[in-house]
Formats: sequence, C-alpha cells, structure tokens
Amino acid sequence: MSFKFNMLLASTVTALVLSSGAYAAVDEEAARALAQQNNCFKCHAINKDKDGPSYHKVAEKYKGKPEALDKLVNHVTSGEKAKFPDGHEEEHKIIKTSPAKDMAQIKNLIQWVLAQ
Amino acid sequence: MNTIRKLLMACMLIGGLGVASALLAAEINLPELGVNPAQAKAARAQEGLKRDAICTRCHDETETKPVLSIYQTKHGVRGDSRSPTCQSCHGDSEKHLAGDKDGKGRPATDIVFKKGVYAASDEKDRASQCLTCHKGGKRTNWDGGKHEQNGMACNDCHQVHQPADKLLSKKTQAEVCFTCHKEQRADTHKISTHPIDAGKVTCSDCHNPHGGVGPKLLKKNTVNETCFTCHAEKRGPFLWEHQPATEDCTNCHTPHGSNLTPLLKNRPPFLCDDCHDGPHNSQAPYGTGAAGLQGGLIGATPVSPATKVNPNTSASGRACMNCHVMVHGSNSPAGALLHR
Repeated sequence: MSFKFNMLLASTVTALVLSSGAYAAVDEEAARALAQQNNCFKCHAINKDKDGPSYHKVAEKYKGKPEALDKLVNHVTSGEKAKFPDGHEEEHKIIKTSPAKDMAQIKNLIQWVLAQ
Repeated sequence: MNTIRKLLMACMLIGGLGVASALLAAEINLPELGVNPAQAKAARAQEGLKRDAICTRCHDETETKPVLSIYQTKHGVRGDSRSPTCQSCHGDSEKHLAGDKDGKGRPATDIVFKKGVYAASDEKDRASQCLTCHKGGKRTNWDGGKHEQNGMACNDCHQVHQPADKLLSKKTQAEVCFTCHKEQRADTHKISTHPIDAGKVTCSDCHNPHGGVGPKLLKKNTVNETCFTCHAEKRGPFLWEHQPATEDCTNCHTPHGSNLTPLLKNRPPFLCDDCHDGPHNSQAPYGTGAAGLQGGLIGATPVSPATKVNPNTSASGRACMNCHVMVHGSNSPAGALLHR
C-alpha cells in the first residue's frame, strides 16, 4: 500500500527472478557447439545410447530434481569416474571452454541437456 | 440300339475320366529358381551394416569430419560382396574398441590414415591396406615408383570418405597434384599450355602417378610414345625425318606450359640455332640492291636448282619456319630440307 512497501515487494520479486538461473533461456546453438568441440557426441547421442546414456535419458533421470544442475556441472568438470556399458570405468572428460572455466557456458550446456 | 449307344457313351466317359485323372496326378515340374538375387544382396547389405555398426555406433553423423559419406561412394556399395567394411581398412582395432583402460586415452585404431588425435601410421602400412584389393593394373609399378619412394601412400592424394574423390574427375584432378607440383601449376597459367584449366586434359592423361615404366612417371615407355597417344600425326614414319623430333619431343617442347606458342622452350631462330649454324648465319648486312643481290640472298645468280640459295638469317626475318615448315618430318619428295 505504501510506496516503500511496493518498492520492497518489487525488488524482492526481481531479485528472486534474477537469482534463479533456471528461468534464463537456453542458448541451444552455443550448447551444441560446446558439446561438439568437446567431443561429447562421441559417447552421448540425444536419443540413443552409445557408451554414455542418451541426453534424453539423462533429462528423464534428473527431471524435477533441483540438485541436477550442480551434480551434472560437477560431473563434467571434476573428471569423476564414469561407468561404461561393458563395466569398466573411465574418468569422465573435463569440459574445456574458451575463455577457460567459463561457468556460464557450462551451465548453459547442462541446462540444454536437461531440456532434451 | 439305344442301349448300345448309351453303353458306348458310358464307356467313352469312363475312358475320358481315366485319362483326365492320369494327367492331373502328374507332378508339376517347374525349374528351381534358387535364392532370389535381390534378397541375397539385401542380406549382404544388412550383414555389412551390422559389421560397420561396431564403428558407426560412435562415429556417426555427429563427426566433425564426414565419415558416413563413404556410403555415397563405390566403397560403400553394401550389396556388393567386394565392398570393405570399416574394419577392412582401419583394422580390427580391438584395443580401440576396449576404451581407455589405463587413463592414457583411448588407444589408436590398428591403422591411422590421417594425423588427428593419433599419429598417422607408416606409409607402407597405409598403402598395403588399399593394395590388398587395388593391386595390379595401374598400380603394378607402385613399389619403387617416385611417389612411393618419397614416402607417400594412397590417402595422401585420394579422398575415400568424401562423396566425390577430386582425383577421379578431369576438372578437379590437377588441383590435387598442384598442391605439391607448384611449378606445373604456374606453367599451366602461361600463354601456351595443354587445356588443363579448361578441364579437357588432366595430369593422368600423360602420367601414371602410381608408377610407370616411362621417365617421369609417364604412362607409356617413352616421352614420344606418350605424346603420340594424342598427337598421332607426329609419329611418322616420315620419308624425311627431323632427327631431334623423332628422338624426343622435349628437345624443343615443354609439355606443361610456355610463353612461346606452341609450348616451345625457345623461339626460332634461336631454337633452330641450338643445332643449326651456317649457311644462314651470315652476319653480312643486306638490303635491296646491295651488291646487286636482292633480299639478302647470298649465293650466285642466276638462281638454278643446282645453285644453293641461302637466305641470310636477317633477311628471312628470323622466320626459319617460313620456308622450313615441316619440322616434325616430311613425306614430300621435295627433299630433306623439310620445305613441304
């Protein structure tokens, strides 16, 4: 009702909206380009399983899970072990961006994967 | 009477039935067609694709460099039993299929054709893969040929995974050769040249890059034989020969290109002066009426068949070929001076 109250409300809503990255639009072209550069498609296809699960499967698995983004960002940046269909394990490839360690690009990529 | 007729009719009927049943009981003998050839081809195609799937499971349309376009080429005709699979050329590559077991990266395939993530294989290994099928014929003299001796293999020139190999078309072949043979590229841009840029003639019309018995990897045994495949009118045999032409076309000509038409190394009279000196080599000045001689004609008058008339080089305008036309040889009884 009062002007101060309205301003407080508006700024809170704006802050909330801006902080949640999930509402940011996914740049599909940039995501695909980064994936191609890092040879992601050698093991992951969008709709079929290769050595790694398809992105569709990944999106299904993490649907609605709020920790998905952080978990997957960690998966592609830490070199943690990934299991292959024949049982053996290898370190997952660490994504390279230019400029190096650009979190925004990596996050965009993961969001695109989760949208498949 | 009626009874007998009826009896006869009955007998005929029974006889007819007997014959008919005999015919019906006979086996229908049609020739065996065997396996449907279209089905056999289709089965072979599916089998080939299954073997390829070992590789195309990962190396699919998402590859940065095209691999699947091989199916648009003769190598990719799956219905043909001679067609190779991925592993026929790149090797069985068990280690590569197993993956990165020791953290040092996925091992290379058995044969690596182009340097990329892995170093390329030795040229002998690369060439031997192709030569298992493509041996003989034009490649009989590959071993010991100039290209082989310089450490080249088939895929240094040929593009197997592209839909169209540039080398297999007259219009685009020379461009591939020119990547190394830059002097010849420059030559084809001179005034007089074989129509290579026009796409009418290409390197393999004279040369066999896989190795030949002739000099400079020519298709035929000698330079002349190669030239005569198109320029047959120069072959002869001639009544009066011009010995340097009979011996070697490149005594006067340079095949790739020259600024002197027609593809000459030198222009007359200097070309002719390489071998021929006097009687035309007089340095004496000439002019109309000079010492009563006309047009620089040295030698006695009156002009008669017995008198050799030798036009001064300056007078003939350095145009030896104005008179000595038949430089490749002549069949005319006019004589050995190749005038006609």
